[in-house]
Amino acid sequence: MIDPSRGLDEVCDVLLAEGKIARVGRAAAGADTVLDARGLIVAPGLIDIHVHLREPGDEQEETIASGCAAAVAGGFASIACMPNTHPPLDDATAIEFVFRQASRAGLCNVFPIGAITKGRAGKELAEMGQMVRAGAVAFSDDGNCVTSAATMLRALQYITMFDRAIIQHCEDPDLSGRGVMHSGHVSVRLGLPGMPAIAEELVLQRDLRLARETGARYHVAHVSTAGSVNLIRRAKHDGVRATSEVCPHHLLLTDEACATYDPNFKMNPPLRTADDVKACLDGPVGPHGVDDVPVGHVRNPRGRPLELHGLVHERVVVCDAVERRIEFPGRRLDDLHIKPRLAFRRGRGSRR
Amino acid sequence: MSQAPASTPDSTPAAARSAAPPSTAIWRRRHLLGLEDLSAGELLHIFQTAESFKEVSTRSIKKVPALRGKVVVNLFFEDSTRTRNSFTLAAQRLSADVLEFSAAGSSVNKGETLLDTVRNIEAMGVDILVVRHSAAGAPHHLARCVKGCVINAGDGQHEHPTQGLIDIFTIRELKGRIEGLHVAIVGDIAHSRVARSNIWGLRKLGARVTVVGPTTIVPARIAAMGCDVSHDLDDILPKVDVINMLRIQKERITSQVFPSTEEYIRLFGLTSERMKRAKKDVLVMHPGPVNRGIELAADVADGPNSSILRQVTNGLAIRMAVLFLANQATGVDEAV
Repeated sequence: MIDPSRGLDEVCDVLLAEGKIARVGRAAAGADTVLDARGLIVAPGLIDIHVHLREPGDEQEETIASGCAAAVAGGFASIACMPNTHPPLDDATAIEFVFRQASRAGLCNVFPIGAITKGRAGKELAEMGQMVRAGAVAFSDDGNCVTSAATMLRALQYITMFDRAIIQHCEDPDLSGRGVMHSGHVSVRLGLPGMPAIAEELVLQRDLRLARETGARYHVAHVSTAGSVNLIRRAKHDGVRATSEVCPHHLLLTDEACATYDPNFKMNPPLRTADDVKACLDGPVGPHGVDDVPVGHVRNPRGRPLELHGLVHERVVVCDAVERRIEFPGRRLDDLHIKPRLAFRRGRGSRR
Repeated sequence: MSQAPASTPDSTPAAARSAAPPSTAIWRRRHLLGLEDLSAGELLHIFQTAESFKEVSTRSIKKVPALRGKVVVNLFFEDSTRTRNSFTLAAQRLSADVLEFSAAGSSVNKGETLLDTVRNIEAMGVDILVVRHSAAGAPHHLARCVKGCVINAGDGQHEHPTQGLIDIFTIRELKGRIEGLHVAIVGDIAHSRVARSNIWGLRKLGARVTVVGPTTIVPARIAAMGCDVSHDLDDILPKVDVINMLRIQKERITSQVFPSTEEYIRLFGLTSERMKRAKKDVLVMHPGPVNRGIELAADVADGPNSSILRQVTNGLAIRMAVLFLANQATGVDEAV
């Protein structure tokens, strides 16, 4: 039994009564039904703050219901879904649609993330105020980087009225070009066009300056480079209200995985080097509470439905990490429960 | 290869007739995907096989029955003159039936996937697939999914193993050795599959390789493959035994990587003036097609040091050897 909110990590019994947890500890004998969970982990529902549900628009890949089923199968009770659907989640009606479909599925909590700009086009601000009222938990043009500094500045200024975070997909599209993997000696050897680390870091560096300027809450999606980790660490030290997340595959795999040309290892941001993995594992520990959060974000740019893969396999990664803490230094289950709740002010689960 | 009883001794090449690559050198690779994978011994085995096939081309009847009854398909998803015709001719000289496939005008234009296209063609009874594709790794992907032999005829910017074999075979023929030679490869290294195959093969056989060109198309990280990197042709030229000039591939360069063609010629073009700095017996190579007057001046391309047409002639023998060995490996598999 692991419950980070109570600092609980021990082998014990859980007594359920009328669908609720009545007691945790040594249960007295005499339960009607006994489930033998020896060797398994019982924990509060995990939270994933970066999920793609593809509905509306690409239901052949994933629906809100199928994504929720995958989440539950992976141990996730709350998920926040990205707005890069067709049409995108860029107004209050679209946010309400997600809540309605999630409630029909009736499997887990779904918290929609609204788009920063209309059509995720990076130009005009979307109606973020009305989306907040409809229940949007954060804002992002995920998949598209907000490349214009002026647009990002306006978005950050505007969002300070609503106590929500702006989530950026940090990628300078000119620098990443037609890249399909990390730009390094492996991409040179394989003859594959690369996406340099600096394409991520330059945008991040600029945004952290803008976040500092505005005092807005800024969240970095899927951090993948050592340079990014350092930038976030420094920004936090300087008092910028920045949080970040990291994907499990960026903690476990390097660009060497691409050497077989298996397209399952093609992703954005790409798998980086061993140094980057080490930096992401260490994390941008700063003085300001909320830290980085692993998310189940797995996405194939060609559009293969890997979301399910991501959510289900994340459980494997996390359980493995919980059991073998040595291989996951400094990272515990609360990364997937407490910290996401703090970052997005949402997520139901174990309370002290 | 199990000796085909039908072969008359006269029509079987020496390598097959003596049937005696020593047992340690028996070819066991069904696919030829890149020179990165091959050992020095395997490279030499291909060269020995190619030498015996060279002789076939000098006969009045330029044909042997080694691949009789086999089907070779040329699957070209990208344009080619030399490679395609050379593979076709090589397969025909081995008496194989050859099927020509071009992406243009095929169902690829109707949205059929690469794998579906190839599986459909394979279902017609194809034994060897010669694949060229603009995506690095495409032949590797197919090799995992099809039953036949896959020969990489160029995959994106990754490898062009038969061109690498041709270049090294030609150097070996004209210089008598590979070990200890210093080879410069000049041009657009970043986008060149020919460069990568040459680097792997030459390094395995003990040559020193220096890649030369502007910093924007000669990535420093390529040194991890075991070569030296230079950005000064005039400095390198007097030191090398072989200079392999790559084509400036305008169609692959999506952003401006050097200010003008004129500036490129001034800094990296091999002119007769610049040739004066080189060793007298330097070998000038080019995998083709040549941009005359850009990377290579016309008089140098046609001059006494040039081995360009020899490379093309050798191409046929190398490709016959590669097809022959791939087919032989299939035979080994079946016997096991």
